[in-house]
Amino acid sequence: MKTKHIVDGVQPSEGAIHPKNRDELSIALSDVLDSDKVVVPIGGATRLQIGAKIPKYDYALDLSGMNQLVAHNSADLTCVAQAGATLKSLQDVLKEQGQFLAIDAAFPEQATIGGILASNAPGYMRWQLAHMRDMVIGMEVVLPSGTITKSGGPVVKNVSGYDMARLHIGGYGTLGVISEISFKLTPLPRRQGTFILGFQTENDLHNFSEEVFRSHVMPLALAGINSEVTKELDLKFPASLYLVLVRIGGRQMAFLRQKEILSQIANNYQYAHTEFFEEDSSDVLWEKLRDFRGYNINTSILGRVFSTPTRLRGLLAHISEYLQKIELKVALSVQPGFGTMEFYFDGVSNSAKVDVEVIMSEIHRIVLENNSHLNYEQLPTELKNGFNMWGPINRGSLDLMKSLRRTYDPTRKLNRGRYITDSE
Amino acid sequence: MSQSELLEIKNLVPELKNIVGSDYVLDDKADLLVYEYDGSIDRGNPVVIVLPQSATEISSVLKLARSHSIPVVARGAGTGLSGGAIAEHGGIVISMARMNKILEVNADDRYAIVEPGVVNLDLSTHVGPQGLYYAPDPSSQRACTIGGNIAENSGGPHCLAYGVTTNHVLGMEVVLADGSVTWFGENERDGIGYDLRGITIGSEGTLAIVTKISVRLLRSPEHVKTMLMAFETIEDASAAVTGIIGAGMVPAALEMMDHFCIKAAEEAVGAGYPEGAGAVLLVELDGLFESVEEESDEIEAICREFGPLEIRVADDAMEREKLWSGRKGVLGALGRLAPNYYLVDGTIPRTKLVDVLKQINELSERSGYPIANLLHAGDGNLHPSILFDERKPGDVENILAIGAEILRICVESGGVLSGEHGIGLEKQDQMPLMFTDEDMATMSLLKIAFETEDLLNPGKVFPTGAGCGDISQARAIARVGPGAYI
Repeated sequence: MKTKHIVDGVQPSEGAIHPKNRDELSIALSDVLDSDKVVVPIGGATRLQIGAKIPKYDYALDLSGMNQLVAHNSADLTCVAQAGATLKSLQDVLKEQGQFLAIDAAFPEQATIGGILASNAPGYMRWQLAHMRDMVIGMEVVLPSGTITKSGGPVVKNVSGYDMARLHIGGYGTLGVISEISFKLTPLPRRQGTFILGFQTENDLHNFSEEVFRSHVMPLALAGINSEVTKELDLKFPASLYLVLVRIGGRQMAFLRQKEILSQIANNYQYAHTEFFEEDSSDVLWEKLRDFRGYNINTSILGRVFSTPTRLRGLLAHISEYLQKIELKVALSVQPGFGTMEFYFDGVSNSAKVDVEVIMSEIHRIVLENNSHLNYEQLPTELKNGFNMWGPINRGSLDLMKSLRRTYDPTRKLNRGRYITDSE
Repeated sequence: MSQSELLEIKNLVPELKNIVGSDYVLDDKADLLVYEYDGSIDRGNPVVIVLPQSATEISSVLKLARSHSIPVVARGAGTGLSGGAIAEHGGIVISMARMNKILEVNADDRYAIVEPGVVNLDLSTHVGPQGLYYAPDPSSQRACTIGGNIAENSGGPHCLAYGVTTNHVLGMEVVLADGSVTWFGENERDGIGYDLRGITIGSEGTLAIVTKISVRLLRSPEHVKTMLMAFETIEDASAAVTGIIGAGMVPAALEMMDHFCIKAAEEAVGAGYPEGAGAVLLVELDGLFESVEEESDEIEAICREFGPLEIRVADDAMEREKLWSGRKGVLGALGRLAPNYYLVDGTIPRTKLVDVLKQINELSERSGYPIANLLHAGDGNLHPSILFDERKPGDVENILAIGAEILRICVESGGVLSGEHGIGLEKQDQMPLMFTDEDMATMSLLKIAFETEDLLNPGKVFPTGAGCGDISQARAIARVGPGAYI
């Protein structure tokens, strides 16, 4: 039994299945006839911790053998790959042609593109390059019954039939198992680099980000990280409350112009520190940030907040105030232009004055009060019991999601009990 | 629709008037005539039209319709080209004409909340003074509505760089078939759960009726550059497009018109396209000044490899507008070449442009019907427009068969049935060209998960069961009638 097949401490009672192609995947699913059996699709197992605690499961459906790049039409800026291909294996091939897939999920050496899509893995490049679902132009999915089905195709513009791929991106493999994906690709920027500024106040973080947002700079990514993240990542920068990283790219003159605009904006602030990193050194910074998963993988709690840029300002202020009050050490990473935020704290050996459950609930309350949403993406297994990690969602949408779940997977063969649709 | 069904709906008129007000229910023959058609060649016969003002009113209408099993079709401006707004099964048409308000503009968070009846261009005009715009720009943007754009997941010339409608919608308030009102997504750019927003966009009004839309607004670019490249042949122009994309360039817009389009556009608007060119490319770049200039130099160099007759850069906004006027006016101008045209919409891999256009030209020569080629070439979206005369016996049948053949060529070249107009009635019977029975059954399960009675825009998207082409031809002939002229 591979460690990667253990979900919330639970091993598959019947073992693992390793399909090599769509037909084997189809047979694997159609062969599970007992309506009591549960199958968990697994790619690189980098995001298996997400979701409610699995009560039991029977088969690990390991897709890592379906790892081929089926086609790369570089002249058309498209490619087709099997779901079990790792993000890195794909990016390495695309890079040779000066292209990339605008998805920068964590642990690309292990994370598979199917798993990244199914779990709606976040990334920092969304600032300019939108959501990863916008990179998907076609998808093949094997339904719980074993039926092989496809939508879209290898063209960049398509409104032929329902856009079924949308359901499976962020569907956590509860409606079907992604087997193959067509992507549109992006040319690699000729030059890229990262502008860094250290600020001593939250206001400066927001004001600077908003100015960049309003300028003609088109960042590939923009993130603010607090001193806890800087420390945990062992970034050797002078101490500051927040470090802002702005990644820019483009052709030579456009790159230099953006760098110049950023410098001009920065001059309006009392920053503690500034630096500029180019090419490989810039890559390394973002790779560290991308793969950051908190203090201790077994005990860390990760909350992901979805908001708007202006709401995020108030939200962050309220959360910071609360954290100070309870003296909790928290690593924070915000994407001010995108309106999202991640926070991490240790669920077991933290310094807080109050219980972990109380902290989680209070942060959730603050998020809701600021008209935003929170999903606890990572919790120590013992904290999962009875806790709704997904957070509330409007009743109409939830009913419809449950209807979709019943329609496509009536016996809840796939990932039973883990997704928002399986909550009471 | 039977006489008794018709009567049953007519009997509901007083109740419908109670819901939306007596001025906003139309069932007079002359009024209904206006709602029988859209921009396609199809036609249907709604029994009653309602013009609600709110989601609450639409909810009440849907509850009433559901209690009597009456089909309902939502309608924007009726500019769609695939028959999506046609009341194929009669019933009630809900016009969004009164739900046309821009409810909120949040410049800081760059979104706007609009009602579905807002005209596409009106939104960009409204937010323009704040340095913002709404990116999807269908050619009909002066008339088409954002609600209709959502139904068809509309594109436009500038969706090459910026994406189609689905890439610009953050959330939507919808009324489901049972009359319940809910939001799919909100104003955030990501969320939790299945992407109900994404699956509803492009579903041609078959899953829900959209009543409010939160859309992303983009910052107006610092610099815009428009170039006209004229080539001797359409093959040279196509090869230049493949060269541009293959070099990793993604302009804001990359449009192509063949000699028929050039002739028509010149006669109609005098856009200044060169005489004798086999095809022209309209290339637009936007963004940072430096970025635009660097990219335009590279694009020019690529195009020079294919022996252009002329490369012209618009010097100012007026000249840019003039160059675009030919492109934007070309469809209307095709009427100068023939009494009618049938515009086909398909997408192919961009590397197949030369080959597919060659096949379309051969088809034109074989059939004797001129085909004017207008393309969103940068994303491989073809709009071959078959020129014909509805009054000539057999013309309608022939051009529909040619259209079906063009789509077959597209699909066999690795392409798809529709790039931006949707399936609607027009292409439903061609769906098997692209999808297996299992694919379509899986899609239709979605409809069942949303509503079990198939009352929202029934009879669209999926095949009717008859042979490909048979139904389309029968329908079109029934509409036109022998020797008729519209």
